[in-house]
Amino acid sequence: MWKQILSKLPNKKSSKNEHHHRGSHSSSSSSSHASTSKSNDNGVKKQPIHSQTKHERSTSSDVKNPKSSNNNGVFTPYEALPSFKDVPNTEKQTLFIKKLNLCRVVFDFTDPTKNIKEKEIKRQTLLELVDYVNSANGKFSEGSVQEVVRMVSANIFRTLNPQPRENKVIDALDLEEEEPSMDLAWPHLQLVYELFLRFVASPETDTKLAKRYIDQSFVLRLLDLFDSEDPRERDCLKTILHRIYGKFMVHRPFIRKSINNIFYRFVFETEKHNGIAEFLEILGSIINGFALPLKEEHKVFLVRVLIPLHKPKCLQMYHQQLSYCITQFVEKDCKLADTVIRGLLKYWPVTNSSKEVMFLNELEEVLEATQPPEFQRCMVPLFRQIARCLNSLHFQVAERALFLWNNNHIENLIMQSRKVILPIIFPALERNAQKHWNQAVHSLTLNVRKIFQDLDPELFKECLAKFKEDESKEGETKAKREATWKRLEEVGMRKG
Amino acid sequence: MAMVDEPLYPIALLIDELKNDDIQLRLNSIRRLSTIARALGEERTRKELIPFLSENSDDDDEVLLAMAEELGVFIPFVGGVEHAHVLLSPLESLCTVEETSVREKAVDSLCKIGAEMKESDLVDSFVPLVKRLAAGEWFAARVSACGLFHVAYQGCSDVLKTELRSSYSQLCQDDMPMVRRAAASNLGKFATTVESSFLSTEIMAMFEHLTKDEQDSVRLLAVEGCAALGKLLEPQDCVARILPVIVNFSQDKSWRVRYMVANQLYELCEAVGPDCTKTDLVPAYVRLLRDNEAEVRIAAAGKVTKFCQLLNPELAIQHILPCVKELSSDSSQHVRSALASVIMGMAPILGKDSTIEHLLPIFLSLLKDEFPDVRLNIISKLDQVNQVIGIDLLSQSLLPAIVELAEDRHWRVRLAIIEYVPLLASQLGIGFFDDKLGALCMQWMQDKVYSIREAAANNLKRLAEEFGSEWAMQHIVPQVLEMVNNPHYLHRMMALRAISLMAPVMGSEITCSKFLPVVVEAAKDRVPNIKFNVAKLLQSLIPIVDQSVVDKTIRQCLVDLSEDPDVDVRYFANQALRSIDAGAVAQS
Repeated sequence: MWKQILSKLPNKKSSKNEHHHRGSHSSSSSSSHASTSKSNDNGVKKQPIHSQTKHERSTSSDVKNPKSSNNNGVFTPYEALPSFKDVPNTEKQTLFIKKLNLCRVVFDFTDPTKNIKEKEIKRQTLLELVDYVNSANGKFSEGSVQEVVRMVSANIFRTLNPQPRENKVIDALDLEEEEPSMDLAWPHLQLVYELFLRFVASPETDTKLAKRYIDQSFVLRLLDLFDSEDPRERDCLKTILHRIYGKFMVHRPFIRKSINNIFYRFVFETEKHNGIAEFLEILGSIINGFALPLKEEHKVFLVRVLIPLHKPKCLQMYHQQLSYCITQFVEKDCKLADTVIRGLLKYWPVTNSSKEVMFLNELEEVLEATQPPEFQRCMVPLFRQIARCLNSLHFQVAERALFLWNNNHIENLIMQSRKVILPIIFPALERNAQKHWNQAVHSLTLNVRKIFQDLDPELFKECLAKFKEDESKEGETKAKREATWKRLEEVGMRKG
Repeated sequence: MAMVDEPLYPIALLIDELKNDDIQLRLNSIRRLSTIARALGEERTRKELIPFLSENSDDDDEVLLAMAEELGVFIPFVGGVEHAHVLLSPLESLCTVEETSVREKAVDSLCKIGAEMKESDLVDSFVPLVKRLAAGEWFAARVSACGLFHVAYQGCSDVLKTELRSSYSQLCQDDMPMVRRAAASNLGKFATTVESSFLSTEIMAMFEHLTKDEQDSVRLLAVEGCAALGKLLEPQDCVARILPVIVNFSQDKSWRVRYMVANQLYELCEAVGPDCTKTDLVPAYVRLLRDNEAEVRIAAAGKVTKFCQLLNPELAIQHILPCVKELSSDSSQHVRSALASVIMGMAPILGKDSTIEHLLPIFLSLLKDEFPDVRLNIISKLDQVNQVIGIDLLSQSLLPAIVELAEDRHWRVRLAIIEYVPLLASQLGIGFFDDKLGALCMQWMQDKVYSIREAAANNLKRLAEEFGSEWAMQHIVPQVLEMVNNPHYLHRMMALRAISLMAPVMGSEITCSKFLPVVVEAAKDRVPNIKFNVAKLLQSLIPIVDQSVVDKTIRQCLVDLSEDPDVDVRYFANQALRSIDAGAVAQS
C-alpha cells in the first residue's frame, strides 16, 4: 500500500520541484555572476568569515555594529577544492568529505558586498556536491552520511528571523500588504536543501545507517523550520519531510506525533505558524494511503487534530489542504460523515463571513460523500445552521448556502428528508423571499422554495401556516419568556 | 406561595431555554443560573440543577465558558461550604473540553471553590479530582490538572502529598509539550505550597528537568520559574541552583528563551540578590544587550534603567554604559525606541556629572533619530533629565526635534507631541515657549485631522492653566477670537470649542467681556452646526457667569435660536433654556 502511494506521489512532487529549482536557480546564478564580475574590479576587501561554530547568523547589517564582530570566527583561507573529475576514483570520497566541510561555513547574506568570492566558491562547491550525490554509485559510507548531516544541520538549523513587530511602527500603514519575507541566504540554502533531498532520496543512502544521524532530534529541528516565512524554503522542507517519512519507517509515528503537537500548539495556544498548509499537504497524501478499515488512532487524529484546525482565524491559509484531508477521511469511511459535519458545526464561524464561505464549500464536499443514514443523524443541527446562513446579510454566504440545492446528490438527500428539513428552514426561506436585499439571493431563494412547493405542496402549505402562526405569536412568546424569568426571580427573592 | 406548588418548574424552564436554537437565549439563561438556583432552593439545586449541568457539557464553547464562570461563585446557592463538593463534578467535565478559555475558566473556578473548602472535603473530593485529571487520557485534562495542585496539596496527609508530588513530576515529563508547558508555568505556584524539605529536592528536580526540555516553548516558561523558586529557596540554595540556570538561559540557543530572560531580568535579579547580580548577572545582561537578535535587544534595552538601579553608579558606567552607547545607534529602530523610552531614567542614577559626560550625547543623538517614535520617547520623559541637569543643555537640540514632530505627516505623531506640549512648556519656561512654540499651538488648531484640532484646543486650555490667565489673554485669546471669523466653518467651530474649554479657566470677567460678545455674534452664523454649537456652548457658560448676564444676554440669544428653522438648532437651544430654568428653580 505504502509503496504505491509513495511511488505515485514523489514523482509528481519531484518533477514540480525540479522545475521550481531550475527556474529560481538559473536566475540566482546569473545574478550572483553579475555581482561577482562587478565587484572584482573594485577589489573586494577580504573580511573575516563567520565560522560554523557560531550558533546564529548575525542579523545586523550594520558593519559598525559590534554585534557582528562579536561572533567572528577565526579567519581561515577559503579556497575552492579541486573538482571531482580531476581526482582518481579512490580519492573521491575523501574529497566529498572535504567539500562538505568547506560548505559548513555559513556566510552573512545581509550585506551583499561581504565575502563575495567565498560565497561564490561555496555555491559552486554545493553544485558539485549535488551532482556527486545524484550520480553516486555505491553506498555512502558512515563517515559521508555523518558529514552530510553535519553540513546540512550547520546550514539550515538557524534562528528563523522573527517578524519585526510592525504593529508598533507608525509606518505600518504605508507598508505593502504582507509580502512573504524571503531569506537572503537562499542562494546557498536552496542548494543545501537540494543536496539533502537528493541524499535522502538516493538509493545509495542506507536507511539503517542514516537513521543514526537523521534521528528524532534532527527531525524535530527540521519540523521547527516549517515556521519559516520563506515559501520556497517551506516547499523544500515539505518535499524532504515527505521523503523522510516514506523512507524512514521507524520515524513515522514520531513524525505524526510531533506534527500533531505543533498543531495543538497552533490551535490551542498561539494561532501562529507559517507551515500548517505544508504539513497538511504531507498528511493529505499520508491519509490517502491509510488502509481500510481505518485504525482507531487515525480516527482520533481526525477528531482531535483535523477538526479543531477549523478554529483559528487564519484558516484561509491552509483551508484547501485541510478540506482535502477531511474529505479523504469521509470518502474512505462514509460513516465518519456525521462526526465531521458535527465538528464543522461546532467550529462554525459566527461573524467571519469569508470563513463561513469556506465552511460551506467544505460542507458541500463532505455532503457529496455522505450517505442517507449519516445524513439523517446530523441533519437537524445542520439545517438549523444552514437556515442561519440562508438569512446571512452577506450575500456570498447566503448564495453559497443556496447553491447546495444545485448539487444533485445533496438535493436528493434533502428531499428524502424534507419532512424534517423544510420546517427548519422554512422561516429562513420565507424571510429571504420577503426582504433579502440582494437580488441574486432573492431569486435563488424563490427557486429553492419552488422546488419544495412543487414536490410536496401539502407539506409546503403546512409549513406556511405554521410560519404565519409563529410570526403572529413572536411578540407574545418573548413577553411570556420575560414574564417567566421575572416570576422566577420573585420566587427566588422570597426564598432568599 | 402558588409558585412553590409547581415542583419542576425552574429546571424545566432552563432545559427548555438551553434547547433553544438562539445562542443568545442560551447564554442569557446560563447567566441567570443563580436565579434558577435561588428559586429552587439549596437542596434541589444540589440534587437537580447541578447534576443536570454536569451532563450538559456539549453546548457551544461560549455557553460553557459562561457556565464555568457562574459555577465559581455558586457556593452560597448549594448551601454553603459544606456542600461545595457538589460543584466539582460539572467543573471537572469543563476541565476536559478542548477550548482553552473554557478550561482555564473552569480551573479558576475550581481554585476559588477549593480555597473555601474544608480540609477534609478537599481530601475526600478535590484531591481525587486532581488525580483523575492528571491521569486523563486526553491532554486537556492533564493541562487543567497542572493548575489545581497548589490548591489540593495543602492539608493532605503525608502519603497523599507524596502521591501528588510524584504525579506532578510525571506531568513535568509528559509526552506532550502542551502538558509540560502547563506544568512549567504552574510549578512556581505549586512550589509555594510544598514543604521546604521537598522544595530543594523534588521540586528542584522537576524544575531542572524542565530547564533542559528540548522544546524552547517549555524552557522559556521555566525562566519565570527561576524567579518564583528563587524567592522560596534559602539564599545560598538559590545562588547555588538557580543562578547557574539563569546564566545558562541567558545563552540559550533559542532567542525566545533569551528574550524571556531579558524580559524577566529584574525579577531574576531580585531572586538572586544584589551581590550575585553584580558579579554574575552583569556579564549575562551585557551579553543580552549585545545579542544577535533584535527582539532580545529590545527586551534588554527596555530594562536598562531598572537594572542600573540595582547597581552602583561605577558598575553602571563601567559595564552598562558602553552597551547603551552602542544601542543608541542600533540598526533596529525598535531597539532604539525601547532604549529611548527608559534612558532618561538613568540620569538620576548616574548623577549630574556623569549624565552630562556620558548620557547627554546619547540623548542628543536619539533626539535626532530618523524615526519619530524614538524622538517622541525621549521628549516624553524630559522632566526626568531636567531634574538632574536642567533643560538648557538640551534645549538647542530640542526645538528642531519638536518642530519636526509637530509637522510630521502622521497625525498620530502630531497628536503625541501635542500631548507633551504642556510638559515641555512647564520644563522650558514661558520665555522659550513664547518664542518658539506659540505659533505651533495655533497652527494645530487648523490641522486637517479632527483629533489634532481637538487636542490643540485642549492644549490651549492646559497652557492657560499652566501660565495663568494674564498670559493667555496676551498670547492665546486674541488668536482664538480672530479664528471665529475664519471663512472655514470647521475652524470657526474649533474656535468655539476652545472658548468653551478655556472659559472656566479664564473666569467670569474675561468670559463676559471677551468671549460672550463673540459667541452671541456667532449665533447668527449661516451654518446650522455653528449655531447649535453656540447653543451648547452657551449652556456650558451658564454656571460660569452671573445670573444677570444669563438673564440679559444668554437667554435672549437662546430664545432667538429656539426659533431657528433648523431642527437641531432648536433642540439644543431648548435644552439650554431648560437648564437655565432648572438652575433658577434650584436657586429659588
